[in-house]
Amino acid sequence: MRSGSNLEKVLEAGHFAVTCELGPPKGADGEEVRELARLLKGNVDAANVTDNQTAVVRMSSIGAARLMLDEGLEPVMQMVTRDRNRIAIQSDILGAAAMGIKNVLCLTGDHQSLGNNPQAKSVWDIDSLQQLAMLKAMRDEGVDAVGEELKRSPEIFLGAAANPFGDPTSFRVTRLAKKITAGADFIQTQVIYDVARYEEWMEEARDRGLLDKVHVMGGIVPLKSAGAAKYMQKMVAGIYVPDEVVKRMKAAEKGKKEGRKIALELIEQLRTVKGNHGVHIMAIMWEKLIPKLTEEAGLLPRPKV
Amino acid sequence: MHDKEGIMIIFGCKHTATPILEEASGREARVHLPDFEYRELPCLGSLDPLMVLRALDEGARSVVAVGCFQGRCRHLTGSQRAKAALGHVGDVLEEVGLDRSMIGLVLGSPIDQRAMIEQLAKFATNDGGDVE
Amino acid sequence: MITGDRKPLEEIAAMVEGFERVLILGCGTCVTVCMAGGEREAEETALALRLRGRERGVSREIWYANVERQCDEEFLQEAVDHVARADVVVSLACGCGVQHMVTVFPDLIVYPGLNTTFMGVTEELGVWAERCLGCGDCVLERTGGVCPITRCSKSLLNGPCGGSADGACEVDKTIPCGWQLIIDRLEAIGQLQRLDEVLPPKDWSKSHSGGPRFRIREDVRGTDDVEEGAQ
Repeated sequence: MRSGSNLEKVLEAGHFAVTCELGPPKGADGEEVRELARLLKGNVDAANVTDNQTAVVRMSSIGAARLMLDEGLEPVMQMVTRDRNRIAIQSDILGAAAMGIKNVLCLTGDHQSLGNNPQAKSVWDIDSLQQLAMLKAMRDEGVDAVGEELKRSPEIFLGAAANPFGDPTSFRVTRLAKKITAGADFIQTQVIYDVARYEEWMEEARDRGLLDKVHVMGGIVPLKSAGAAKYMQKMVAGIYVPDEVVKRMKAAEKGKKEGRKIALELIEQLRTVKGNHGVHIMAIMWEKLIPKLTEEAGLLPRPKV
Repeated sequence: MHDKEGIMIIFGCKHTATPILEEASGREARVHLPDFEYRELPCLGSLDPLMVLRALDEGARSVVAVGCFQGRCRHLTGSQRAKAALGHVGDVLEEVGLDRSMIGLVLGSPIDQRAMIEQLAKFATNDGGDVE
Repeated sequence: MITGDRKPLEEIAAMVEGFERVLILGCGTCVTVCMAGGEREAEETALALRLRGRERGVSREIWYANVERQCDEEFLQEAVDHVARADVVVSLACGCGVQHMVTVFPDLIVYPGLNTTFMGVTEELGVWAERCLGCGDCVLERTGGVCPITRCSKSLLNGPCGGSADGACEVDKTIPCGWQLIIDRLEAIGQLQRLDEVLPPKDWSKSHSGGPRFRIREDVRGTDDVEEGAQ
């Protein structure tokens, strides 16, 4: 065990893991986080807490993660390299580990020009791969970025994101390989609507021997409406939404109901993909759906490990 | 520096503007147009934004470029270049709070003198015209 | 070259408000090439400010001059007569030129007429593009001659990020994804395997993060003490 986190134990025991996302509030009200944590607790193995997602200022992921712990929901603390240099990243990780945070997802982060503070100076002292390597060395070798010994290593389960549909096409699997080399223990993928294409990516990864070293969890985004599907298809970089999905959403009488149905089908399909060890359900602003969706998908009760 | 106070300065293409404004019909042009000074260019493509600004600095009330319509230019892109140059001057004028209608562009054909002079007269009475 | 954009003329006009004799000084090197602050732009600026003043009934002397390079004292000295006559100088050089003017002529008031933008190239007539951030530790040999620090919006050394789509950057569809360019280039020259390696964090102390930088060549300076006898 690298961290002894619940997520790590579930994955290592060979269970089909379930994570979801919790978006911290734009404000200092901790009760909002606690309420969401109570809603999600027991329905997932851990919940990602986003770090100023889309470069819009919100409560810090580290603060929200601590509140989640108080409520008994295990956090996967997301950390982007956009806003912190290596000094701040190491220090925040030590603080987070000291507070009992055991899962960290390393991300580059959306560019600040897309968020609400486009005037901000970007940092990107290091990228997400370098962040993974740095945190892995902190954990496994007990040293910081310059090789100085830490009095106690942070016990953290290290995650990274991957996009099976990302550009450039020829580089998709190499990029995954690099994340694993750098130190990723688990991977949460970008949203998947085309399981066949996801399987091709997984197969290539398996052929390159990557899947023995890492737990890959497929990403799910339940759709609320045809408009949302179209928006994602046209406007969001790196997301692949097949036309059939948009068509289905358009034809449906009730968008949310159809979106839920599609999500259930996708979860079912992902369970059969070789090497896929779980699902990561992103339903920000629709967290209420998680308990129902996991129930209907037969993912409950979550294993006690 | 202000010796051109109040007059209109015309930069013209020698193929299109000179026949209308300087040669045989030059007299007619002077009858129909307010006081102007004509400055010949080999082609409107050589109209430099600085020429226009200098002309205004000399005191000209307005500056207009006269040349061939697009497609008829012997040097192919003269009128497009003149339009770009005047567009730039217009931006500069606007930046310092001046009216870009002090400058204009009249394009036509030398065989259509009347129409050209009418357009110039219109520009002169409006105290300027529009650069598209 | 170093590129810049002329400041809005109203901003320049506001800076020189109240001065009687205003010199607009162009720079004949980089900013001439990128058509931002050379002799032509200096004349244009002087003409525009003069027209503006006349419209408002303000009479003051505004003229222009140009030197080869404002970042070298020997060239700046060529402007000494102009400078002596001016109450204020608007320099159309990059920030280096403005600062060097102040150093060479300590009593002079010099204001910037340009917003200095980047180090770049002429992509096509009328189009300039950023190419170098002067990080002090060039990696172009590893990235096929395409700079990840400059041409990736996030300066990633192990890109691309998830925002790369159809060859474009997430910041703006008109910006090519730097990492797509790197991958294409490495593929073309048969060096794609270079990307298997995870590049370590960059040593930013060699960049401006390490403080303002100097470059010294002692041989050129030649100011070391010499002793008598064989050396």
